Amino acid sequence: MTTASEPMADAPREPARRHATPRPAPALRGDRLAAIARGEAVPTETHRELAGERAILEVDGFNLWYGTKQALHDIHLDVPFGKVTALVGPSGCGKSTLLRSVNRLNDLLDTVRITGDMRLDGASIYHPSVDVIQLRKRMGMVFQKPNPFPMSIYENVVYSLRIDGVRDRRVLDEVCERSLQAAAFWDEAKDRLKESALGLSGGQQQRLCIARAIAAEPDVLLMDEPCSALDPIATGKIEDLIDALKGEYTVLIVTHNMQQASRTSDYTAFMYLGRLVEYGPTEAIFTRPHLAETNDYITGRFG
Amino acid sequence: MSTPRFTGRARQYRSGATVRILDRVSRWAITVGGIGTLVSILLVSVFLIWVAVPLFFPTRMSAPHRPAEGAAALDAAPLHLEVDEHRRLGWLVTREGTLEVFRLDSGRRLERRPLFPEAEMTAAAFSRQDDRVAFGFVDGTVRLGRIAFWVRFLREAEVPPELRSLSAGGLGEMAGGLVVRTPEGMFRLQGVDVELEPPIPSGSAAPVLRIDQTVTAAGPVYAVLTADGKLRVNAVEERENLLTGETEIELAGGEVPLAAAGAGGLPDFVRISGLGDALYVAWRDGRIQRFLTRDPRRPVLAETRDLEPGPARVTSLSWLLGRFTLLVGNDQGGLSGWFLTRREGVSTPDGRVLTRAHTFAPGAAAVTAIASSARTRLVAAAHADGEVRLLLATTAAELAASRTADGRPLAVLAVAPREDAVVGISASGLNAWEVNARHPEASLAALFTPVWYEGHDRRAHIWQSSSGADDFEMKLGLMPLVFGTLKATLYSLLFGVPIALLAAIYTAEFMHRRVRMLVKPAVELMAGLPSVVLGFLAGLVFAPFVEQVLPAVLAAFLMVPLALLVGAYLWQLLPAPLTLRFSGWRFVFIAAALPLGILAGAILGPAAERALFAGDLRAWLDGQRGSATGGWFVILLPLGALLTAAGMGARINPWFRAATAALAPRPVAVLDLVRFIVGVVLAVMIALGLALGLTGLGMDPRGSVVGTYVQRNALVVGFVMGFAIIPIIYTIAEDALSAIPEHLRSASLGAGATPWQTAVRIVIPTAMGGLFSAVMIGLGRAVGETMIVLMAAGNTPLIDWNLFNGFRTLSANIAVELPEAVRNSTHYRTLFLAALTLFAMTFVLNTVAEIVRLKFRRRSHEL
Ligand SMILES: Nc1ncnc2c1ncn2[C@@H]1O[C@H](COP(=O)(O)OP(=O)(O)O)[C@@H](O)[C@H]1O
Ligand SMILES: [Mg+2]
Repeated sequence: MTTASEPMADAPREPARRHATPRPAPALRGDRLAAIARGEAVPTETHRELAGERAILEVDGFNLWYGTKQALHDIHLDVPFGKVTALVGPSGCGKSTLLRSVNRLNDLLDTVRITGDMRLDGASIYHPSVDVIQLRKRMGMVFQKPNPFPMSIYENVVYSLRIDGVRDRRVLDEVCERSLQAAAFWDEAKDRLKESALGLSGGQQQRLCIARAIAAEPDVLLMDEPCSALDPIATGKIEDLIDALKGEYTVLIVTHNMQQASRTSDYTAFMYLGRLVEYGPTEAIFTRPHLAETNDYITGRFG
Repeated sequence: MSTPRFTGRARQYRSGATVRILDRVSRWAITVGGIGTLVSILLVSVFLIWVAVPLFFPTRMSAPHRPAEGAAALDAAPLHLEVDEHRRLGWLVTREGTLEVFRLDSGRRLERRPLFPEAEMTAAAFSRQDDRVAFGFVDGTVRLGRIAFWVRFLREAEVPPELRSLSAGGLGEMAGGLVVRTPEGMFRLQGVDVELEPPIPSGSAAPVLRIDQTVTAAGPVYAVLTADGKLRVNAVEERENLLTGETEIELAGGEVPLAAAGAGGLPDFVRISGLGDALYVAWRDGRIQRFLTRDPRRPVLAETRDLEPGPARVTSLSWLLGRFTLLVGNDQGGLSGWFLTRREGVSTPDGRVLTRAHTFAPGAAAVTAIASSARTRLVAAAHADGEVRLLLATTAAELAASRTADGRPLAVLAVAPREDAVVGISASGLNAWEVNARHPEASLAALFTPVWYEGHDRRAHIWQSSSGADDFEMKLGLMPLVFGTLKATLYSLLFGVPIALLAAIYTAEFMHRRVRMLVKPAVELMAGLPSVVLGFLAGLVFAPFVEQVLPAVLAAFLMVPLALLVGAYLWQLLPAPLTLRFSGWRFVFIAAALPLGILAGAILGPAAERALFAGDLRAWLDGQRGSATGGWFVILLPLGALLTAAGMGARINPWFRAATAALAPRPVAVLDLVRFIVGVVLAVMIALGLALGLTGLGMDPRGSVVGTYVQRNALVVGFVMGFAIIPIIYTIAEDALSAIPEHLRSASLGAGATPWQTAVRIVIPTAMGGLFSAVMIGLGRAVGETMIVLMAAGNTPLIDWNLFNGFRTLSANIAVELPEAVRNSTHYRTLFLAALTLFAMTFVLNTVAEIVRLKFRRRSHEL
């Protein structure tokens, strides 16, 4: 099936180099982006504040290839527990790829090869003995384009319970209500739970997808540009929602929108051409980044 | 025109001439092509309708034509009347035994010939079908013979000079008959020929009162009632004397025990059946007795029945074509048709009873004459109020009606040989009607509802369009063909759809991309196999093979799925590293289940035959041996499996999952296997229990879904046609599944669903429209498929669900019969109607499929 599930020893194109994380952050200068573009390895600038957080998800020297093209280069990233971490970077820099690697959705593509590992709560994600299904049940995922199933709102929300074979109506009803409430969608949806989810507007669909992800009680919520297909009002609602989830859920969110990253996230990681360039508290990244390149990007001078 | 700005190149904003011409040409070509396609489809159906619709045109009967000249000169109350096939001449025989020949156009008598100048005729019988006549005389003798029209073409020289100038269609009289100038300019001489054999004794010297005769394969048989109350049946054997060269006549006969029947008064009607094996004797009050005369020396009373239980009295009793059905007319205008049917528990020596099969709509006044056509089941009936009706015996339908010109009743009646006229004689003379009986045998009732055909025990749907006999009754029931079409479709879908859909799901959802890229074109290549090759293989190779190894084949149907399941459970037992190592080979392992299942079937089949079917499956199917339990068991096994699976899914599985959640994969796999084995045992027990129960209730599957084994049967067709429709269903289903947006799969997998759960809960429901279309297109293919069913279905037009019996489909029927159907005949048009029916069936199917597909598509559009 997928080479991603093969033992790591198989064929690393580039040796996985290990960095100690977190490290002190020297104020580095120089044309890193050009160096990255030339294919040179550039160490990640990880802020010191991250050392104080408990990491629930650790990405450790992760490389990923689509066929012969490498999409992720030696990523080291510790996602803190109960916080919102934003992944920013220009299109095609591998944000989605990284996100999809976390719950091993990339396994489905048979051209994908990986080296390195990720750990969820200290347990390997890519070890051959890992039960992928069980792993995915610990992570909820919200996609760029709202993708409700062609069934009723209710069935969409309780989908993860259905596949676990839960039949108890009371449990289902309760989970449905709580999840929709958590996704700030209960008031709009409570009278039309039996209606098809496909009749909802884009913003509603996306909140439904979030409710669906929440209903699975995930350890980590992965969101891939959840607002990029939505209008500003719907976007505002989703952002409020992410704010509300903070503390209870660990959220890893990909976004294109700098303001969204600055408004909603606790930590921000800046990626460029498959490499993690700088990673630190959102406030620091947006006001006083260590790297000039990060500054250029978030101030919109390129990308 | 514009000035160069960005690229330094001035762009021409107007489209070039070539572009515009090409645009116009292609628009025209596409329009013409599109409209042409629609028009040609329309034309095909218009053509089918054009040919088929005349079947339903009503029979028309003109106003009565009354030739003025000489009409009154004809005998007012003749015994019998005949008309020639060209509708030029007629003859009649009077009560005095005189033959009169006359022109039909003018009614002018051409000839008047006493047939028996020196004897007194007292009874006569006529048979329109074979021109035979029988006369009885006052001295108790009988003369048999023929009175028939003859036709001869004259040489120019033979024609009298005054007639040579006749124009085409013109008539002229000359010695010996009537000359007709044909449209081709030939001179046709027509006349009437009488051949009478010498008198033979009837066995009594008293005057003959009633007589009837028939000609069997062994020679003539006649029945005679004489004034002394004796009724005799005689079979005439003609034998050539080798010495003298003369033919000698030998009579073999016996007296019918009339008195024994306790009949009051002498019978009013004596009728002998076409085969000479039954003699009917009837009285006006409706009483009728049937005697078995297979051995004419010893006639035996078979039954006594009442034709008219009410107060009505029989006024007319005559044979329908073929002398098997009696047409009974009464004095109230009622008309009915009676023939022998087999009935359970009757006390007659031959197990048959005379049954009223047809009841015609009654006329307003007494029936005065009945005439049956010599070609079909068309019947003309005359009533006392002058009404004349055309009826069809097969369906008891009234086709047309008219009335004599002056309202006087007809004494005799004849249907012209080509059924293009009805001629009758009333007290005021000749009446003639032109008839346009298009296709009386084909009516909606005859085509689509059960019809009581002659000699059958009950109403039935029967298709039998031709036979060797002249007096054959056309049986145009389309339902057996529709049924055959549905049977072929059902059994092939039953076999093909699960395989095609499962294969499509497997390919789309589980197969490695590279394997998929090989498998899909390979399956699509299968679709290119000409169906005649499949049919040939099915009929000549597969059918005989299945016949030989039937138990193994049936066992394989059960063993292959079982092998797959067992394989899946064993796979789980493998250590995880091994399964990972071989995961790329999974397809090969799955494919291996097929030969293994077949092998298991081959081994288990004969054993099962011994255990369940008393050692001989085909004898068991014939109902010769064994109890019903074995059959029920095999039939109910899938049901048992389903019940077990459903029960386990609802009750055992949640508990099982909860109980094993904490265990390592290996022990779970072992327990799983144990659970599976328990399930199989349970399924077998359920099937066995149900089978015993049903057998206990006295039910037997033989005679319904299974029964006598015929080599070319629905199983073979289902298998081979299933094979033929698999590629198309597979291809479309696979496309539909592949078209499901990847983000739905990702969402489901991301939520932690297994690929199988994703397939069942998300992909398949979403692709339902496409899967449905796939099945419907397969269905359409199966409905219209011709060659396979033609070669492998046995082509017996039966309505029988028996899996092991043959059938005939609409399409195969058209292929078989259309080449030999006479153009524009009823048969020919009915075949076109069959084509139209087939067209309508596929049209309805496709429309339903399209509606459902659109409904599904609207749903998937919202994705
Ligand atoms: N399925 C795929 N097959 C091959 N290349 C891919 C595939 N998905 C993404 N890529 C490539 O990987 C790189 C990263 O893509 P992606 O993770 O989608 O970027 P982002 O989400 O940051 O815009 C891009 O260059 C893209 O072309
Ligand atoms: Mg992306």
